[in-house]
This record gives sequence, C-alpha cells and structure tokens, in this order.
Amino acid sequence: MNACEVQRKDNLVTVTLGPRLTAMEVPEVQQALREQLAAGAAQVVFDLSATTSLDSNGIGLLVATSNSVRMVAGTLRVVEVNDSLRRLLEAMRLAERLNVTAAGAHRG
Amino acid sequence: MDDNDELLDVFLQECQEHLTTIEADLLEIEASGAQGSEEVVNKVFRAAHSIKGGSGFFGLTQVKEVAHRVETVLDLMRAGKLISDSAIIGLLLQAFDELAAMLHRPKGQADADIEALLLGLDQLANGTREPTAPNPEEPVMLSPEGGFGSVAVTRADLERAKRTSLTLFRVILDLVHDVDRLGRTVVDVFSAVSQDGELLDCEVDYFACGTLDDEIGRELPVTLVLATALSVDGLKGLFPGAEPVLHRLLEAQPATAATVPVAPTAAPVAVTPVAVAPDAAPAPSKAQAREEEGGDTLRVNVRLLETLMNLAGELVLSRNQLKAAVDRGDDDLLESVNQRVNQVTGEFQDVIMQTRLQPVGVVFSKFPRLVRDLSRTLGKEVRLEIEGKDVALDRTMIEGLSDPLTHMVRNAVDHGLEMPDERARQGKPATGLIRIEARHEAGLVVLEISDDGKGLDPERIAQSAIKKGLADRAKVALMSDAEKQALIFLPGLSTADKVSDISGRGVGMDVVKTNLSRLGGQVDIDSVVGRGSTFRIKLPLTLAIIPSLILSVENERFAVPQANIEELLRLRAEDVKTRIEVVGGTEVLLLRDKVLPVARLADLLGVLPTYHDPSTGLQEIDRRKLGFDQRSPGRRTLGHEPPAVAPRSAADRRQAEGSALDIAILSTGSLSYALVVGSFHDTEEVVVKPLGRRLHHLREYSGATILGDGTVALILDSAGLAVKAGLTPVSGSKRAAELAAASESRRLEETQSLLVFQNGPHETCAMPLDLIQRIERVKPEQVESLGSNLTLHYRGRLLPLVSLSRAAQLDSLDGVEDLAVLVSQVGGRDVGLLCSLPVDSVETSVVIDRATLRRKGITGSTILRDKTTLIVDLFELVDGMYPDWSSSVLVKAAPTAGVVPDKPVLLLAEDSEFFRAQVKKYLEHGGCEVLAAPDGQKAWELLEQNVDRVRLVVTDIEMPLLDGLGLAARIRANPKTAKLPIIAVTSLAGEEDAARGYAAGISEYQVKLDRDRLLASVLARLDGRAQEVVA
Repeated sequence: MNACEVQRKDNLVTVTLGPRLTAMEVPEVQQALREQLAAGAAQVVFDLSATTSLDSNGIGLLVATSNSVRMVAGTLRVVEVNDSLRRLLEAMRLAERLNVTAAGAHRG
Repeated sequence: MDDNDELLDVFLQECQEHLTTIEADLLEIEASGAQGSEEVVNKVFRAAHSIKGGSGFFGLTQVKEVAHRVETVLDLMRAGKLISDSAIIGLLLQAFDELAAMLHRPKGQADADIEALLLGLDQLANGTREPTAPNPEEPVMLSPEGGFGSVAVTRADLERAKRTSLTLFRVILDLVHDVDRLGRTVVDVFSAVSQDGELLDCEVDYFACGTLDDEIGRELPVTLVLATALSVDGLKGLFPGAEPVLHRLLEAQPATAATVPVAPTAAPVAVTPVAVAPDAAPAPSKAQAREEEGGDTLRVNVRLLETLMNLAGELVLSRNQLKAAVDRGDDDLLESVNQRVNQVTGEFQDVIMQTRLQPVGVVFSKFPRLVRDLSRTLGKEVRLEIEGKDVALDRTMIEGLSDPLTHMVRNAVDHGLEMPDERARQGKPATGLIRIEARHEAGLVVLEISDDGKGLDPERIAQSAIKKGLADRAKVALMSDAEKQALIFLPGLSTADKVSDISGRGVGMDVVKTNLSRLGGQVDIDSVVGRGSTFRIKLPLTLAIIPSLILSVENERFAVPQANIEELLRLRAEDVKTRIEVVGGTEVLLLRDKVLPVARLADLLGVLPTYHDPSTGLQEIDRRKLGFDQRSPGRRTLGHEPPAVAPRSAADRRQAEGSALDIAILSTGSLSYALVVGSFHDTEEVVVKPLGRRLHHLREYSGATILGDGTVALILDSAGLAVKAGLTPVSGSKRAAELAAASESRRLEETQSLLVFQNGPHETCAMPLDLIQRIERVKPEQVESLGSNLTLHYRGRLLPLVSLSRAAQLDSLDGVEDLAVLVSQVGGRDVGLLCSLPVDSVETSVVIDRATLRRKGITGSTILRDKTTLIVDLFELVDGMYPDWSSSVLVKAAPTAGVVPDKPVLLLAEDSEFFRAQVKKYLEHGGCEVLAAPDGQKAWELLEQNVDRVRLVVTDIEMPLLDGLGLAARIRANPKTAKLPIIAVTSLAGEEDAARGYAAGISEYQVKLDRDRLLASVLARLDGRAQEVVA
C-alpha cells in the first residue's frame, strides 16, 4: 500500500496521506515531494483526512517541507486534520507555520 | 583538525573569559549610577569589541550584530551621552546573555531570534527609547536557572502561574530520541504534559529539521515552557527513560524589559536547544564537541605544569633507584627510595590538587545578578555581601555546588527576607542583608548563607510537616527547635503561605541536602525567629582523597571520613551501664549534656560477633553476644554452622557491660549519633573509588578504597548508616532531657576542674581552676624579693607573691626561666602563686590522699595522668606568708564597732570531700567558723548539737542518707532552726530543681560553685540584708 497519493495541478501538489505518517511512511513521501519540488511545484497541500497517527518523523517531514517551500517562496497547507492531531500541532505551536486547518474546514 | 576549528575554539574560550566577568561589571556600573566607573565601562566595551571582531572573522553574523550594537551603546555611555539606568543595564545584561547563548552553540547562532533585542539596542543608541507601561501581554524575560539564554512569557501567563502556585520550567527534549525511540508517541507526551501543567510555549527547532533534501527523523528538538505544580523529579517522571534538559525559570528582567517590543506571539527571544543526541551530529569538530560537553577544559598556570614536570622527573629517578635497590637486594637503599617515593607522591598529590582547585567565587559571581533580579521582581530591597571568593575548592565540587547554593540564595531572597514595609514595622532596616561567606575551617571549607529576615519558625515547620503527613505528631512533640527546623529538609515540605514561582514549592531543600551530601557536605541551620537564618555547609576540599579514620568490627576494616567524626570515646566497662540507657525502645548514649542515639556497626552490617579461642586457636562465634546459653557445650565454629538464633535487638543488648566499648560520634549535619565499633585503627588519607554497580544501591557505603597494606575497605556513609539504623534525634524527649540533666549533674558532681602546673621540674601541683583569675607569664627578673616576701611588678603596682618553695618547703624555682604567676584573690586582695610552665587544665574526679604528703599549704596529693600531684591549698599558703591578712571580710563587716566579734558559725553539708574542703576553706577565709558534714543526716546531727551557735547553713542537694531538700525540710520543721538561712550550692541547674529547692525551704539556690558569690551571699544573709524567700 502506498504511503500517499500525489496529485499535481500546475505548481500545486496535493499529497493525500494514508492512516499513518510515521518513520515507515516518511521516506516515500519525502522522495515524492522532493521530486515534485524539483519539478517546479511551490504550493504543497497535505491532506490528512485519513490520517490518525503521526510520529516525530512525520512532524519532522511537515516542518522540513515547510522549510523547503519557503526556500522557493512557496506555500504549505495541512488540511483535514482530525481533532487529536490538530490539538497536538497547536500545542507544538506548529499550526500557524504549517497552515493547519481542521477536518471539514477547507470544504466550507 | 581543521585550522579554522582550532582558531574558533580559541576564540570561543576567549569569549567565555570575557563573558564570565561582564555580568559583575554591568552590575557594578548599575550600582555606581550616573557616576558610573569609566574604567569598568571601558572594560565591558573592550569585551564587546573583541567579541564583535572575532565573530565577524568567523562569520558569526548574528553574534556580530548584537556585539556591534552593545558596543555602540557602551560607547555612548563612556562618552557621557547615555546615562546608565537599570533599564539600560537590564537590556545590556540580556544582550550578553544572548551572546553567551549564541557563542555556546556557534553553529546554530544564525537561528537565534534577536530581532527584538537589536531593536531595543538600536532604540537606546538612537535615543528613541520610550518607557512602555506594563501590560498583561508584554513579554517578561525569564532566565533558566543554571542554563543559558532567556525565555519570554507573557506577563499574564507569569502572573497566572504565580496566582495558581505553579513553577515555570524550560524543558528541552528531542522527540526522536526521547519519545519515539522509547516506544512512546508524541501525542501521549503532550497529553501527559498538558494534564500535569500548562504548556505556555513550545518551540520546534526548525533549523534542526532541515529540508526535504536532508535526512528526516534524525532529530526533532523541541523546547517547552511549562507552568506546573510538579517538582523537577516529578517533571522528569513525565518523560520516563528520556533525558530531557530541565531548567527552572526565574524572572530575570524587571518590568523595564518592556522596552524590548517583542510581539507576544513571537517565539522566545532565544532558546538554546542543547539536547542534541550525540550520534546525530556527524563527525563533530573540536569546537562543536566542546560545545556539547559544556566546555570540559581547565586553564592551568604554567608554573604548576612545570612543577608537575619536575615531579614527574623525580618519580622517574625514584623508579630507577627502586629498580636498582630491588635488583641488588639493598635494604638501606630500599628504605631511602621508600622515603623519596613518599615525598614525591605527597608533593604530586598537592600539585595535582592545586590544578583542580578553583576559587569558589566562580559560583558566587552569579549571585549579584540573581539577587538583583529577584529582589526587583519581588519588590524587596536586598544588600548582598560576599566574602571569601578566593577560597578554593576542587573543580567537581564547584560544579556541584552551583545548583544547591543558587537554590539557597533564592530561598533567602524569596522566603527569608520580609517585604520592606514589614521590616520597617519590625524596626529593621528596610534593606535586607544576605551574606554569603566561604572560609577554611579545620581542613574543611565552610560556606554560609545567612539573611537577617524572618527566620525559620520551628512550630510552623512542625505543623506543616504533621499536616502533610511527613512527620509523626508524637515524635515532633519530642523534638527540639533545631530538630523541628531541620524538618525543612524533608521532601515536599513548604511553609510559605503563598508558594511562589521563585523558590518553587518547597521541594528544593531536600534536593539541596541530597546534592550536598553527594559532595560529602553537611548542612546545618542556625535560625532565630525574627532575626534571620544561617545555613552552614561544611565541605571537604576534594572528593578524590579523604582523610579518614580506619576502624574495624570483627576482622572487617572500614574507613570513615574524618569530616563526619565529631568525637571518639572509649566507654569503660563499668561505665557502660550508666552511660547507655534505653529511651523509647532505643539505646541512647549520655554524653555530657547530650543524649545520642546508639547504633552498633556489627548489627547494622550483619557481621557475626566472634572471639579467638586460645584453647583451640580457632575463631569462634561469640555465643554470649548472640544470646546462646554460654553453658551449653555446643560449638559453632565460623564457617561450619550458622547460628539459628537471631541476634538480639539493639535495645536488648545490655550484656555488653562485660567489656569496654569503642564509640565514634558521627554527624550527618542535622543528627549526631554514637556508632559502636569494634576498635579504632590509624587515620589514613584514602583515595575514593566508586562502588561497583552491584553494591551501588547500598546506602551505608559511600565508596571503597584500598588501604596502605593493599586490602580493600569500604567507606562508611554516616547518613546512610543512620537511615539504615532508623535513627531519629532523641534529644527532644522529656525522658532524654531528664537523663541528660542527670548525667551532666553526675559529671559535675564528680569532677573538678583543676589547673595543673609545675613547681620545679619534678613537682607537679594542682589547684581548683575557679580560684584562679588570670595566668601571667613572667621573667625571673620581674620577681623581686623584699625580705621574706616576694613581689611582682604587675599592672603598675606590686603584686604579692606566694611561693611553694618558701611556704611549703618544695623545690626552689631559682634558675627556672619559664615562670608563671597564677593570680587569685584571697581575703579581698590580689595574690600571685609563683610556679613554672607548663600549665594545663584538667577535668577529673580526684581522690585526695590527705596523709602522705600533707603539709602547710598542701592539702594532700592525688594521681593525675600517672603522676603524683600535690593539691595546693592557697588559703593556707597565704595565711603562712601573710598572717596579717586574716582579718576577714565578715569580721570587718561586723556591726559593732570597737568590739572583736565571735566568728559566725556556719554549717556546711557536702558529700564530695574535695568540694567540702574547698568550700570550708573559702568560708573560713571569709572569717567564719565552719562545721562540715559529709551528708544531710550528719549535718542535722551537728546542727542539733550546735543549734545555738549556727547562724547559716550551706548545703549540697544530692547527698547520701539525707539529701539537701530533706535537710532543709527538717530545718524548717523545727521551731529552733526554722529561721536559719539556707544556701544551696548545687549542679542541678533546672528550673524545676530550683523550684523544688525553694519549696523545701531553701533560701537561696546557687547553681555553680562561685566563691565570691557564695561569700557575698553569706555576708548579706548574716548581715540580714538579703531578702528571705522563705519567711
């Protein structure tokens, strides 16, 4: 099973993650994103609607992505984040830097 | 190694040296106000300038930016264009903190958020600084205790934490190593943190996360700012198995920090994540390694290194000689090499010690800033005095002292000192005083932290301990004030009405004590309510080599650090029964006026008592001590059959009467106790080796050592032994106090203080110490002979002298150079007894032989220190030489002029022969006729026979047959004697004793034999001037 699905539209990449973003999944997602950014993408959206588990590697990936897109003057958004993970990212004061939106918020 | 790395390393070391003194310099500038010392401003300027220059060279741009602006501000100050005030100094301190933080981690310096700081410094330089009114959202800078950098929280958060009695902490951890790799989840950790406190801020180290091109999952350092009720240990418990870096946060900047317009939502101005996993950094450079190890280097004076080199050379020579001596079998050479190796090793030890010694001022230097900041935060006025900065201690000790001392100083400011208005109400100066002093004392270093604040209220501490279930009400009731005060060392005790964020929640003092114990130190308290407290810490100079006493129990030898030993004593077999009592099921030793709990080393360590059986030559188990029936023929030889009978409890062990006991009085700082050991051996300087992992949990040992003969000995830990023995102080119990009083009284009753001196070289003499007012050393030429009398030019007049050679026909002192004069008063006149040195005082219980050597001026003789000693009767001597002095004070005071009155007759009851003789002499010299009796019964009989003559009774209280109280009661009950004044002279010092005395009819109670006071009382009462207590 793939760790993520990547959709590209112009310079926008949407990465839809599976139930977990942990040390197991991170290398695959990192590789995919690196390729996309190398190919000119500058706006990244992580869709976490199916994601329930996030470890420090996953958080590290989100921050590293944020650092990378800043270098190309791009943007990052993390959407459809369930309550538990949103609370964690807020507690870590990452919600603002990662542009986190709660589950259901971006549709409305 | 990269050349640049090496250069950077040198630069960083230089910066560190600049930074260590800058804080003190800035505070000095602040203290000197507008007339600030130009020289000190110049010094700080030069430091900033050097840091700027070097940082530019190494590309440390952020460091350079800060240093440049600091330099500009200081330049304005020294040009007189900017007058320093506390806000400016506050900002400069913050800037140097920031510089220190960035230089501590130069590779990460670019990541530091210094925008606000630079703005603040620019505003200072441009003169656009405007005061900002405090508002709840303004950031307050906090300093991590013992850590680097600073942390900003909003005033609202800080105030809320204060109101809810929470402590603020900075926690630095790496989520990869401290969470994920330990099998926990990040969500769990943050959830646990939130449950046990309020997470005020969290900063993820974005820089460390790298980009998508870097390896992800190597590290994820985060810095949390927490408000929590947990202690440091409690907080660590939230991260089981991890090694987070914890710092309690102190309010470092006064409200004027508002001049730095940091946006409330901004990340902390500077947070220095240091918990980077060692394996995370690929091939660290030297500078980086130093950075991570916290600067594990030491500067050593070249002179010391040269001395070490010379000693190393000496050692090589000695080794060569040793080899030659062994090869040749030359015993003489071997002996000389032995001496040489001894000497070189000793010198080596000294010099190596010196290289490790650092002045304790290294720790003290941070206190002016700490006290300044804390006092401002708390609205208190504090003057800090520091003395003894140069006292040197081993480097490891210096490092270990920092935290406990900081805690104690903070406590003194926060809890010790009152608010200025409260001080004014109590008539104290509004400015409180905190004094920190280091000094050498008896081979130890003593550190004192004292304040003139409110002191420790023993009752409040005791109540708090009881309320929190930390102490038992019954036990507390028996404690002395000092013991109650020592309860503050119990974990979890706080008496502050309002727990503050400054000194935490009272969880600190136990940790302070534990930390100091680890350094081999002891802490004790001297505190008076309303007057202040002094915490006294005694520390060895080093932990590596400890002067110790070697003692043994059975054949096992142990070392006890001499710092823990108060006293050694041998209890004679016949004294065991009277000196060791049982109080509350525990054995106690009565030592002078103290009652000490007793622990027996053999019991504590489970060593089997043995004895050597001469008939078999075998070492046998001592069945008597184990409670076996001594008559039983059963043999249990060591190593064959272990005894089935459990050793008798300590309290049951009264059978030790049969043998003398060697006892070491050990101290743990707050508790002294008696440790019964087998025997004492030599003292040795032992080199401390850590206990292996398998023995590490044994609290009764603090280490191991190898003795001179190559055998291994364990080093006893006095505190650990006390804990194992379950010892508690017993001096507070009523029964213990009674026992102590009785013991002291017996001792006083039985012993006399004598001054021992020489007449000639072969004649040792003694006389009661309380007769002697002064001892003067004189030269033979100062003594003049006028006819048969000797005199001395003394304080501008002639002092009549008596000499034993003339009055008592002892050896002449002619030709003796070392002369002394014992100055006394007889019949109201000064008189000196000529003798030769040395003189010494002894406390002893003497039996006087009144026959063998009795002569005029010599009461008799006794044996002192195996020497026949003549007991001098000064009154008789004076009588012999100056017979015309005999007109007594009493006779002179007689009311009828022109008539020589009869001598007043006094009855003296005293069972101690020595005292009886002495008191009789005083009274007779005072002009009385004295009827003396050895007990109350005999005294009563004498009184009945002389009822018409006796005008006054002097009596002891403790006497056989009929005691003083019984005698007094009998005198009062008989109409013929009921009006007689009775003076009691006794060592029973308690108020209750006196009350019992007065109730029995004693007119006056004199606690200690004081000749002049007794004579004055007798005179006053015979004269009818004294007011009778008993009608």
